Amino acid sequence: METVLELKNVNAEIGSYRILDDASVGFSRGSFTAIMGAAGSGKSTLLKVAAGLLIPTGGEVLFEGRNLHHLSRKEEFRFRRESAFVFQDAALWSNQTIRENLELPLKLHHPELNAAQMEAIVRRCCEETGCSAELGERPSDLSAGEQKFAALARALVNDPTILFLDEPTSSIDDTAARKMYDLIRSLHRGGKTVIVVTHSETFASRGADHLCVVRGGRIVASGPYRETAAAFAGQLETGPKGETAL
Amino acid sequence: MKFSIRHAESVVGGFILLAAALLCGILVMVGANQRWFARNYYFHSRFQSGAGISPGTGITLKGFTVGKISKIVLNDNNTVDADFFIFDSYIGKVRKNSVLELATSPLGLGGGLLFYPGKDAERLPEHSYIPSMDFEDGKSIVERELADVPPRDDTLTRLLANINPLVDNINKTVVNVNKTVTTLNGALKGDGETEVGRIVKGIGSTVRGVNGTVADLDSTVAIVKTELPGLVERSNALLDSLKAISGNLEQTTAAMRDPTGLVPKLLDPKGSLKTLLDDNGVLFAKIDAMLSDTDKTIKNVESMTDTLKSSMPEITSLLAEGKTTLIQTQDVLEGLKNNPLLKGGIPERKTQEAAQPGYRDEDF
Amino acid sequence: MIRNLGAAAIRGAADFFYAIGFFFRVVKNGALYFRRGQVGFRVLVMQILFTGVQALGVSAIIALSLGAVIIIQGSSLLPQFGQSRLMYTILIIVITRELGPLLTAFIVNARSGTAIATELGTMVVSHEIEAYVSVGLDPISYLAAPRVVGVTVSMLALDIYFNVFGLIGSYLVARLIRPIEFNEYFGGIAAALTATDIVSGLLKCFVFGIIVSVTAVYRGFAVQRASTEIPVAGIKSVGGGFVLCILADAVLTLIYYI
Repeated sequence: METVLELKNVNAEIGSYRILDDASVGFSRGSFTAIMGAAGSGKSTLLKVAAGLLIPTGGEVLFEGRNLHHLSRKEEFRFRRESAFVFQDAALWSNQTIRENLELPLKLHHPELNAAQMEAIVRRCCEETGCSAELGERPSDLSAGEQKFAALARALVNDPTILFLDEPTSSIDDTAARKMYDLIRSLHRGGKTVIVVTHSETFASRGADHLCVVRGGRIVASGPYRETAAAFAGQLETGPKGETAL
Repeated sequence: MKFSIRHAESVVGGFILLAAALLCGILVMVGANQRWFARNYYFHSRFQSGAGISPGTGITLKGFTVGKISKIVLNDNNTVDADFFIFDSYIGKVRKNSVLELATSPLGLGGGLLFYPGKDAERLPEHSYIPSMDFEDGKSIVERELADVPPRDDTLTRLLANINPLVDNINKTVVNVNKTVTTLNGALKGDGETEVGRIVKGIGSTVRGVNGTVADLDSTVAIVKTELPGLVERSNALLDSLKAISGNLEQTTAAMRDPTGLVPKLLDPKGSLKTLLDDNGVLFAKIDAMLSDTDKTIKNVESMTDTLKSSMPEITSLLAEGKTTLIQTQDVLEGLKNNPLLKGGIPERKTQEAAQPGYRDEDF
Repeated sequence: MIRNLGAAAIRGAADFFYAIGFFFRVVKNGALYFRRGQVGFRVLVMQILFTGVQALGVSAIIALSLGAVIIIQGSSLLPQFGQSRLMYTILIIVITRELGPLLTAFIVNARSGTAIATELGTMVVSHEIEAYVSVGLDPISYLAAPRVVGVTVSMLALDIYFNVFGLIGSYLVARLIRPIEFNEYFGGIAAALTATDIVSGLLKCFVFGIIVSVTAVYRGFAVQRASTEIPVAGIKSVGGGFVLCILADAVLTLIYYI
C-alpha cells in the first residue's frame, strides 16, 4: 500500500525539553493507525508533527514523498484540504457559531460554493456525525461530547482523505464514545486514512489495523495491530474507561 | 444579540464613512482658508535687498493682504529678484504703473511689502514685471504720481494727532496751576486787593483742572504704549512750565516760612503765628508737601524726557507715576483749599465714589 | 555567571530578531490584506467595531474635556500677554498633533491591546490557533492581519473624531463657562490649522495603530500552554504598547522638527 505520510528521524523540542526523539513511522493510504502510549510520552506531539502543526527540530515529514515543510503554498493548501485534525479538546473557534465553524474551512477551500450549497454540506456533515448542536449556537453552549462531534463534523466538511484524531473519546460518556468508535470505523471503511491517538485499547482493537507505541518520546514499536499489540500484551491495560496504563 | 454586533457591517461602514466625510470637511475648510483652490496670478519684481522679505511674506494694500512672495533670489547684480503672486480677488488692482515698496519700520518692528496700484486703467498681464520703489523706475512712477500712493498717514502720525489735544490740555492745566500759584504768591506777599476767597476759588479750579489732567493721562497712557518720539519735544515744554511753577512755589514757601512775614499778617490781623498753625500745622505741612510733590513731578518729567528717547515702553509707567504725583498735588491743593484757616481740613480720598451714594454712606 | 549572561544575551538577541521578523511579516500581511480574497473580512469588521466604534464614547469625552480645558485656560491666560491667538495654535498642537494621537493610542492600547493579546492567548491555549492552521488558514493573515488593519483604521477614524470633538465640541463646552464668539473661534482655528498638522496627526495614528496592534498580536501569540500566561500577555502588551508609542511619538516629532 502507498505510504501517504512518513516521519523520518523526527525530533521535536519545546524549549530545552525534547518531546520526540528520532521518531520514524509511515502511514499507508487507507490505513487505520492507533498511536498509543502513556500520558506525556509524546503521542499528541507525534500526531501534530505528522499533521504539520508542529515543525520538527530535526528529521523530516514527507507527504506523498515530499517534505511537508518545503511544499509550495498551493501544495500545502492541498494537503490542508485533504487532511483534517480533530483536537483532544475539540478546539472549536469560540467566537464563532457552529455554522461559522463548519463553513469557514468550506469557504476557504471551496469559495465557489454559494450559501445554499454550503448550508447543505454543513447539514449533511452534522447528520453524518450525529452532531445534535443547533447551528446558531456557540461552542461554549455545547457539552464536551457535543463539541467533539461538532469538531468531527468540521473536520469532514472538505471530505478529507487523511483524518488525524487526538483522543476522540476523552471526556465523553461511554455511549458517546461508542458512537464515536463506530463513526470513525465507518469513515475508515469509506477509504479515509485514519491516524488516531488513544488510550483506549478497546477502541484501537476494534478498528485499527496498525499500532504505533510511543514511550518517552521514542517510537518503541510500529506495525500491524495484532502483532504489535501482542508484543505489548499486558502493557496496554485498560482503565475503567478503557484507558491504558502504558 | 446586541444591535451593534448584529448590524456590525452597517455600523462600521457608517463609522468609517462619517470619519472620512469629516476628514474631507476639515481638509476643505483648511484648503479654503489657505486658498488651495483659488487661482493666483504671478508677477515678479526686484529689490535692493531681501532683508525683511522671505517666501510667504504678505503683500499688503491699505492693510489688506493681496498676495504673497513665492520666491526670492539674489541675482548676479547683487540685487534681489522676487517672484510673487496676487490673489484672484485682487487681480483687478494690478494695473499699469503699479509699484511695490519694501517698507521697513524705523522702530525696528519689521516691515512689510506694500503694493500701490497704478492709476492707469490698463491691467497688467500675468508674469509682468512690477517695479519696486528701490529702483529709479519705481521712484519715477511715484514722483510722476502715476501710482495710487496714499499720503504718509502712518501709525506714528495718527498717534501724534491723537496725543496733541491731550498734551495741550496738560499745558493748559499747568498754566492754570501756575497762574493760581502766582496769585497765591501775590496774596501771601500782601498784594493789595487780592483776597483769600479768590485764591481758594483759583485753587478749586486748579484742582478740577488737575482732575481732568489725571483722566486725560489715563487715555494718554493707553495711547503712548506705542512709540511716540514727538512726545519728547512736548514734554520738554511741559518741563519748562513745571519749572516755572516750582519757582513760584518756592517763593510762596519762603514767604510762609517767615513767621513775621506777610502771610501771617494776611491771615491773622494780630500777626500771631499760633493762629496760623491753629490746625496743628496742617496748612504749613501740606504746602511743604505740595512743594516737594511738585518738585518730584518735575524730576519725573525730566527723567521721562530723557527716557522717552531711549526706551519707549517705559513711557507708560512714567506717565503712571506722573499721574500719581499729580493726584498727590491735587490732594495738596484740595488741602490748601479746605484748610481750617480757610475752610476745613483735607478730605480723605475716595477712589471711586458712586454718583448716588448709598444709605450706608450717610452719617447718622 | 558569564555563561548565563551570554546565554541570556543570545536569547535576547534571538527574541529581538524574531520580534522584528514577526513585525514585518504581520505588517506585510496587513498591507496585502485588501488584495486577497478574504474569508477574514468579518474579523476585520468586528475588530473595527470593538476598537473604533465602541471606543468612540471614551475618546469623545477625553477630547471634549481636553479641548475645553485648553480653551478656558488659554482664553484666561494668553490675553494677559497679548497672545490670544496663540490659543488656537496650542489647541491644534495639543489636539491635532501631539496629545490627540497619543491619547487615542492609549485608549486603543488599553482597550483593544489587552483584548487582542488575551483573546489570542486564549486561542493558543485552547488550540484554536492550531485548528486554524489545520484547515489551512495562516494565523498571521487570518487573525493578525485583520486585527492590525482594523486597529489601524480604527485609530485613524478615532483620531479624526478626536479632532472634531476636541476642536469643535469643546468649544460648546467652553462656551458654557466663558463666552467666546463662534466666528472668532472658528476663524482662529481655520487660520491656525494646516494640512501638515492633520497629516502629521494621522501619520502618528497610523504608526501607533500598527505598534499597538502588532505588540498585542505578538504578545498573544507568545502564550504557549498555560492559561496563567494570558493575563501576563495582556499586561506586557499594554506596557510595551505604551512605551513603543511614546518612543515613536518622540521620534516622529523629532523628524518633523528636523
